[in-house]
Amino acid sequence: MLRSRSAVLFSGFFLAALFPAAAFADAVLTVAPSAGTVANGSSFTADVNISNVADLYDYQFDLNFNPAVLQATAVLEGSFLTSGGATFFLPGTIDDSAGTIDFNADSLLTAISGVSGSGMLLEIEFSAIAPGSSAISIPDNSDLILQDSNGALLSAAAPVGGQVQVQGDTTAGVPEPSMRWLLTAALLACCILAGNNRLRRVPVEI
Amino acid sequence: MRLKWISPLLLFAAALLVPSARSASLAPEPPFTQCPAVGQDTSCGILIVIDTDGSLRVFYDPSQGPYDGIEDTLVGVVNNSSKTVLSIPLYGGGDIFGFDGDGICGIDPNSDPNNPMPFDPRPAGCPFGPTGYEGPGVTLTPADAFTGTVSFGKGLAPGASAYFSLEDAIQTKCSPITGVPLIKQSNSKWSNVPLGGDPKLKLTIGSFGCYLTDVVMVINYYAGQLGLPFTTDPPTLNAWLKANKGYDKGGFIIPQAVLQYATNNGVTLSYRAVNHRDDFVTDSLVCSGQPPILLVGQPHWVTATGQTVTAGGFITYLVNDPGDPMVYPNDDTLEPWAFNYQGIDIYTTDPATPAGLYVFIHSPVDVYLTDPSGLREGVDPTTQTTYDEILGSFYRDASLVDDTMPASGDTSPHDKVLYIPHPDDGVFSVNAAGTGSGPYEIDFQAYDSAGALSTGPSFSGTASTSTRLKFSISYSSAPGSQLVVSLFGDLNGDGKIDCSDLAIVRASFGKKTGQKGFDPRADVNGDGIVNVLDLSIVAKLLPPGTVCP
Repeated sequence: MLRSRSAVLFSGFFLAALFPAAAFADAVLTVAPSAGTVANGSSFTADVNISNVADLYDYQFDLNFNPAVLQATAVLEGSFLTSGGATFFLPGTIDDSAGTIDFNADSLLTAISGVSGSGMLLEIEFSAIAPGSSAISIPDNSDLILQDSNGALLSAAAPVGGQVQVQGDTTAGVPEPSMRWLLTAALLACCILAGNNRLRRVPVEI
Repeated sequence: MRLKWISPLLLFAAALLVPSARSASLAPEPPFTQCPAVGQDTSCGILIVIDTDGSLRVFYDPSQGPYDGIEDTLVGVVNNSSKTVLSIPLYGGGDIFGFDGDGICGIDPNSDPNNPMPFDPRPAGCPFGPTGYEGPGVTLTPADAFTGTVSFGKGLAPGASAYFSLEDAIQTKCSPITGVPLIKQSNSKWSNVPLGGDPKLKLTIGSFGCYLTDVVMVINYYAGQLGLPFTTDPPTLNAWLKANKGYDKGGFIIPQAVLQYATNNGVTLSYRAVNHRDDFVTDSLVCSGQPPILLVGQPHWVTATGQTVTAGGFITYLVNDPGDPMVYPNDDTLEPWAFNYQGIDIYTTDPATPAGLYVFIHSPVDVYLTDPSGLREGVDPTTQTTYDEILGSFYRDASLVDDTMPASGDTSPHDKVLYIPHPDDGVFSVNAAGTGSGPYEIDFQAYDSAGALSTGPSFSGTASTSTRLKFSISYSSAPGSQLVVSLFGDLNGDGKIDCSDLAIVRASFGKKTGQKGFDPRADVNGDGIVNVLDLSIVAKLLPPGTVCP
C-alpha cells in the first residue's frame, strides 16, 4: 500500500547539471536527487534516471540504502522504458533490515526496438525513520545489466548514487520556544555528562 | 551456396527463361581431356558439367570404359557456372562410394596379386587422398556406399576442372527402362477421389495427385521386377496413406509412409531426394533400372524411364507423365517443361535406413534447421540466407499445380517441407521467422530406424515479419524412440509463448540454482540464475501486441 507523499525538503545540486549528457560515452545510471534533506517521519521519493543510452530494451540493478535511517516502501516503474511500448516491470525485492532492493528489472515486450536517450527508469518511495544520513546507491555488480533489442549488453559508467540527510523527529509536533530552550539545555547537559560525542553531532533544528 | 528452395513463380520463370535444354550438337564432345590417362583410359569416361544455373549435367564417352577394365570409372568435372563451387553431392544407382582399393592412385587389380602394382599409367603426384580415388585437390566423403560428397578444397573456380574416380562401371547412357506402367491421375475411376491433407482444401487425385500416381507406377514397377503379383492403384495407396498419417495437412505425401506401404506388400524400398537438377543421378538411376521421379513445371511430378534425343536434337528424358495428355501434350519427354527439371525423388531397392525427420511449415514462415554437428538446412529470411549443408536433405515448397488446368496457376497450399534423411541422434534446433502476416502452423514428424512414426506437437499462432521462434528437437533413431519438441521460450510447454511464460520467470526472479524457489524452466539461458537476461529472451518472443499484467 502506498502512502501519500509528504513534502520533501531537498537541497544541494544535481551532478547531472555539472556533467552534461553529451560528456558521457556510456550510459549512466543516476540517483536523483544527488543530495537532500528530509524530515524524520516523512516520506519521499528518489528517482533512478538513465542518460545517454541507445536502444535500451531491458535493465536490471540493485539498490542499497541505510536501513537505520530509511525504510523503502515501494518501487514504481518510471516513464522511460514505457515510452517504447508495453513493458514487464519487476520491482525489486525490498529488504528493510538489510537496506537492499535487489533485482529491480524491466523489459519491453515483443520483438521491437529499444528506447534511446535519457529518462527515469524507476522511482523508490522511502520513509525516513530516524535522523541520520543514508546513501542511496546502485552497486556496480553483476546484477547491473543493460541490454539492447538485439540482446547485446550495453556498457554503462559507474552508477552515481545519492545522499539523504534525515533531520530530527518532527512528527511529535513543534515545541514552544521556552520549552525548546530548556530541552536543548538539558540535552546538551546529558551529552556532556555522558561524554557521548556521537550525540553531539545530531543536527538539531532551531 | 546453392539455392535450395525456390518459389514456384521463380521455378516457372526459370523454366521459361533459362535455356535449360542442351541440343546434341552443343554437348561437349569427347574426348574429355579434363582427366589424364589412367589404366585403360586415355581421358574421362564421364564428364560432369556444373551448368550456369548450378545444376549438374553429365556426358559420356563410350570409347572410355572402366579404367581398370572391370568396374571403376574415371570422372571429370568442369565448372561452367559463374560461381566457385565448393562441393557437389553425388548419388549413384550403384555403390559408387563403395571404395575397395582400386582407385586411380590405388592398385591395379589386373596386376599379380603377389606383386601388386599401381595403374600404368596413373596420375603424376599420386596419392591425392586417403582413399586413392581422389584426384588433385579433390576430397571424397562417402555418406554410405551409394551417396557421398565430392569437395574441391578452396573451390572449383568458374571454368576450372578436376577429376577423380568412383566405383562401378557407371552407366550414364543406356536403353530405356521397360516395365514401368503408365497410369493417369485423370482416370475417371479415381480422378474425383479426395486426396489426403486438410479436407477443406478439396484436393483430388485428378487435380493434385500426380506424385501419388508416380509413386504407384514405381511401386508396381518394382513389384513386377521382384516377380510379385502385387499391384496397386492411386485410390488404394491414397486410402492407405490417409489412414496412416501419410499426408501432412497441406497434402504433401510423406515418403516414409510410402516405404511402409510398399514394405507391407513385399516391396522393400528406400527413399532419397535430390533438390536440384542432377543428370548424373538421373542417368545413373535410369541406367541401373531404377526409375526416378522428377519435379518439373509449375510444379508437377513425372517418372523418368529413359534417355532420348528429340527430333529437334535436344537431349532429354523419356517420362511417364501421370497428367492428362489433353492438358500436357507431348508429355512422353520433358519437352512440355522446357526440357528441365528441378528435383529428384528416388525410390530404389538399395538398402537405406527409413529414419528421417520432417518439419512441415504452413506459411507465412520460413525456417532453417541446425543438426547436432552444426550443419544447417533451410532458409533464414532475416538474412536472406539459404542453407544447404546436410547431404540428401531438402527444404522444398510442397505445393503442386492443379493438373486439370495448369494454365490457371492454381496450386495446392504453399506449404514448405524440411526433410533430413537418416538424422544423427541428438538435439536439433529449428529457427523460424515470419515472412508475412497471417496464421501459421509448424508440425514435426520423425521416423526411427525401423520406420516407425513419431509425431511431435503442433505449434500455431499469428505471424508477422517480426515473429521469431526457436524450437529444440530431441531425436533418436533407436526403434520406439519418441520425438521431443519444445518451443524455446514456451516455458510451460503449452505450445505458445505468452504472459504465462513470463510469469514463470517472475516467480523465480533473482533465484539461483539450488535456492528455494529456483525453477529451472525460468533459467532460459541456463546460466544458473534467473534474471533479466532470461526475462528479455521470453519477452522478445512474445507475439506482436502482447501486453502482460
